[in-house]
Amino acid sequence: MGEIIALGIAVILLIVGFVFGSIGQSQHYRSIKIREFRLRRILLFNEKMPPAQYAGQEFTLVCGSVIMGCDYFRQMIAGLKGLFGGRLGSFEAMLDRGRREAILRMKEDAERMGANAIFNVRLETSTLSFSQQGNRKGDKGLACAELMAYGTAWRAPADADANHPQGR
Amino acid sequence: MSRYSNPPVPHEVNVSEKTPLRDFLRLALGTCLLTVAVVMVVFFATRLFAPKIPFRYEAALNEAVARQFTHNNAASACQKASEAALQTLADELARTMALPPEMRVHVHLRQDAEPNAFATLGGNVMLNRGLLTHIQSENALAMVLAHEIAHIQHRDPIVSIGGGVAVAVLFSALMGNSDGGALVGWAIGLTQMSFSREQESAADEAALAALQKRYGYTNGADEFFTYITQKHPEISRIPAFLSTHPTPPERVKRIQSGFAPALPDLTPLPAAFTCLS
Amino acid sequence: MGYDASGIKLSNIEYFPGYAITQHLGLVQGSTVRAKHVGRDFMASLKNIVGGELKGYTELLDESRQEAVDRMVAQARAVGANAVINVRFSTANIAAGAAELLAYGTAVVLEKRG
Repeated sequence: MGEIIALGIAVILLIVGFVFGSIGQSQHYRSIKIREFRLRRILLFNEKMPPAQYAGQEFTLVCGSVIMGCDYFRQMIAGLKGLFGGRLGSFEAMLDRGRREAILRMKEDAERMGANAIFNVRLETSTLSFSQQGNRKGDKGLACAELMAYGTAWRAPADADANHPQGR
Repeated sequence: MSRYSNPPVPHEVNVSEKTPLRDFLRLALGTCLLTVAVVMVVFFATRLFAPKIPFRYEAALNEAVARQFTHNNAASACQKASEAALQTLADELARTMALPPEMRVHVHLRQDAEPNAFATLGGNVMLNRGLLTHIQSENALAMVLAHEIAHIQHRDPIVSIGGGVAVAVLFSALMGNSDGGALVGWAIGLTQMSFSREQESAADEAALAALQKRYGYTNGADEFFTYITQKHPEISRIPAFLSTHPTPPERVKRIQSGFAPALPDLTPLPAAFTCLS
Repeated sequence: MGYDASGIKLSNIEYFPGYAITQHLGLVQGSTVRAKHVGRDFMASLKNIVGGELKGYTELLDESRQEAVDRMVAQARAVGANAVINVRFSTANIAAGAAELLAYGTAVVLEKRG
């Protein structure tokens, strides 16, 4: 009886994870694409040397971060993939969404100070072992990762000519 | 001076998830098939190699296994005398059947009214008190004992339990369950009912050969099986291919086919058992 | 989210066109170790059934990183710098549910040229 209840809960979690996880993922991607289009004006480079046109302009450190989790269904896929090997598509999607979200938050940060470009952009991924309550021995807990983007945002000079950084 | 710009990049290259539901179903099916395949390989490989395990390792389990089945035994004088008489008969039969010297059989009498007997790990033969009160001749008792001794000689208990134990150990190792002992105990408990029909028939043949050698005839060997057939007629209706034991009527027929034409006098049961009834 | 550095300029690059570094004042760092609380953890495990952003944890780490930056800035101010350059962040798991956030960089005096 206990096993049947446990199995039933697992199946419900799988279905809930699949349905809401898929809806959430496509909504998130839609929002990411809209915001990426809106913020395309702010350019990203991970070169350390800003061009000479920026001489004397305002700059500041900008940062964006997000912690992404993976839904129950996609975690299950990843667990099964652990037996057979191969691409973990569900984690790829989670990290891709998170990284683009972190970059967007960094750009939104830069937008607030009126920046045109961000130089020396760094991307970092760290796994965080936030354990679940009532953790069993050997349980890895939540599958989640922090995605972070940071860089130095520069405001374009007032006398910007055709050759200063510009979005398309 | 160089130009700075950010043309759009194809982000899709970083994500390979296209059909999560189909991936999941394929993986789940693959996992099930893999599990079944691994279990079958482990199970049958263990059964194949179990008889190669030297009997002295099995003998080391003798007392632990015996305790599992005889924990509610009363240590009365009658019990002791009956067990000694059974052991004497079993030792004589073992000699007749040419058991290797290290393969010692231990007979235990259980306080159980159900007429039954079985062989298990460690060279143990368990005989229920109910069996002794339902048979009349030593020949019938010798048939039952020789049958169980033949199981031990053929290493049937370790073969039948080996597969189950190996699978139980595999699962407890995979699931990180430290309570492997309970699983092994559970597998041992199942031994008495999981010999195959081939193993049962082979044990019958060996037992009949032993009786022929000891008494010069096999008459009387069918007594216990005839009794079971009369007492439990429903057993004979179970289709033969469904039950692991050959059905009693079938066994009785097979046993009776070797009887001497004139019925010799059967040997009476040892006197030690009179105190049991 | 933009770090509030109260008058100290922050950057993760080392070369600034139009500026001159007149003094290098050495490494400054700020770090903090934070643990999540049970309520947040519970909500996050519920959220993780459906996946997506774990907002509670994001906020927690943002707050913590701001604190690490504050501590680094306090060191920079103490040595008389007006900027911290080449800032780096690092996150390390100390135990289940506890993370160290570290920010470090070089404290300098930065002056606008011309």
